[in-house]
Amino acid sequence: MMQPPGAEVEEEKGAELFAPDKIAHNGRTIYTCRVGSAIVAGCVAGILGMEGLPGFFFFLLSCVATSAMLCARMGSVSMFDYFAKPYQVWTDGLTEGLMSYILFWTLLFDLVYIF
Amino acid sequence: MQHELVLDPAIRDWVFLPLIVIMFLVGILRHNATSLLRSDPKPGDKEQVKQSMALMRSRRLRANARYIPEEAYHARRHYFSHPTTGVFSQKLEAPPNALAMMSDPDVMQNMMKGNMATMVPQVAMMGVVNQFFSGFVLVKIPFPLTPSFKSMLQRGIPLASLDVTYVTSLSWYFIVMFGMQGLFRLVLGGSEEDESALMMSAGMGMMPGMMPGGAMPGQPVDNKKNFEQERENLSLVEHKWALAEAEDVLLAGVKLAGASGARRGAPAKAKSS
Repeated sequence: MMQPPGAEVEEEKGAELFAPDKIAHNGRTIYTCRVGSAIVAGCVAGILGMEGLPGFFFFLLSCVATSAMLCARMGSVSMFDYFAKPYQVWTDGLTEGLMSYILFWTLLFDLVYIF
Repeated sequence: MQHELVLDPAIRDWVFLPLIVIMFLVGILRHNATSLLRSDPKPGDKEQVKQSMALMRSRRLRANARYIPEEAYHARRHYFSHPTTGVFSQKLEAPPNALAMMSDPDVMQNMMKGNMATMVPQVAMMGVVNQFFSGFVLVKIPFPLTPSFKSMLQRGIPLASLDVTYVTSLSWYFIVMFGMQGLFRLVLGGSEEDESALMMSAGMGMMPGMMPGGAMPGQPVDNKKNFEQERENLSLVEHKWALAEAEDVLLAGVKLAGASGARRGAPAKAKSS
């Protein structure tokens, strides 16, 4: 799941030197990691039978873990080379991840506990 | 803690799981249908492309002016912004306005196709789900909701005491619909919409054949204003040749200045290529 980020993006103070396609590729990679981890986390939450707020906390926890792993993969210094805004690693794809998480959470929860 | 309802396993086998499978397959079908229906964007008008390219060249000239000698710079500026013969002074015919474009059947057809491909399956699926699978509890969502959702999520089940978390097939349909989007991205890879949006943001100079200037492909841009603007910008540039004292710097043996100069030069060169 941990894909290496794409080619490094040239960036320098004062000059606008971004490679938008590379940044978009990095964003897509983040998105893929996010959705993948959300799906796995949703399955885990469903099987463990979490309900209500603990489930959402579990989602947040998984997101933080994913982002932290991505940061560790990139190295804290070079993080600024990969994105236009460094906090994108933490915020990108949160809503889509939440949607996928809810889907798989509900799916597994119902399969295990309701039927 | 409320007593848990136990749902019929037949509901799981015949509604719960099939709905996911159907929606997944419909999503893939829609993706393929969209890529089949999409016709290639027509290459832009020749004059339009020429004008946009001129704008781009001028922009690059402004950005990298300090790497060429003064005479060269002035010759280029003259080419662009001479009051009578410059590229930016030529008479432009008015671009076709947006209204005329709307009547262009090709553009309209493309828009229609795009809308149809997304709208029709969704509406159809919703109708089917509502038609066949209404009137019973299908799913318990594992998080609590306020009772105000009751009328929406439990339509067709007139049980006042039923917990809000037990919902009907329509709610499950919506959960699947939103949740699948991420999954499709994983399964189908970066979608086509992504790529085109990426090209848009990548903008000028990156993708040959795209309409530069940040405009939608096939949409005419009003270059008259752009030309005015660019001419003004060019006249504002104060030219200073960065390499004028290069040999002095070299002979003086100032290592630091030389190194930083080379470093600064590299990205600029990369940009202009």
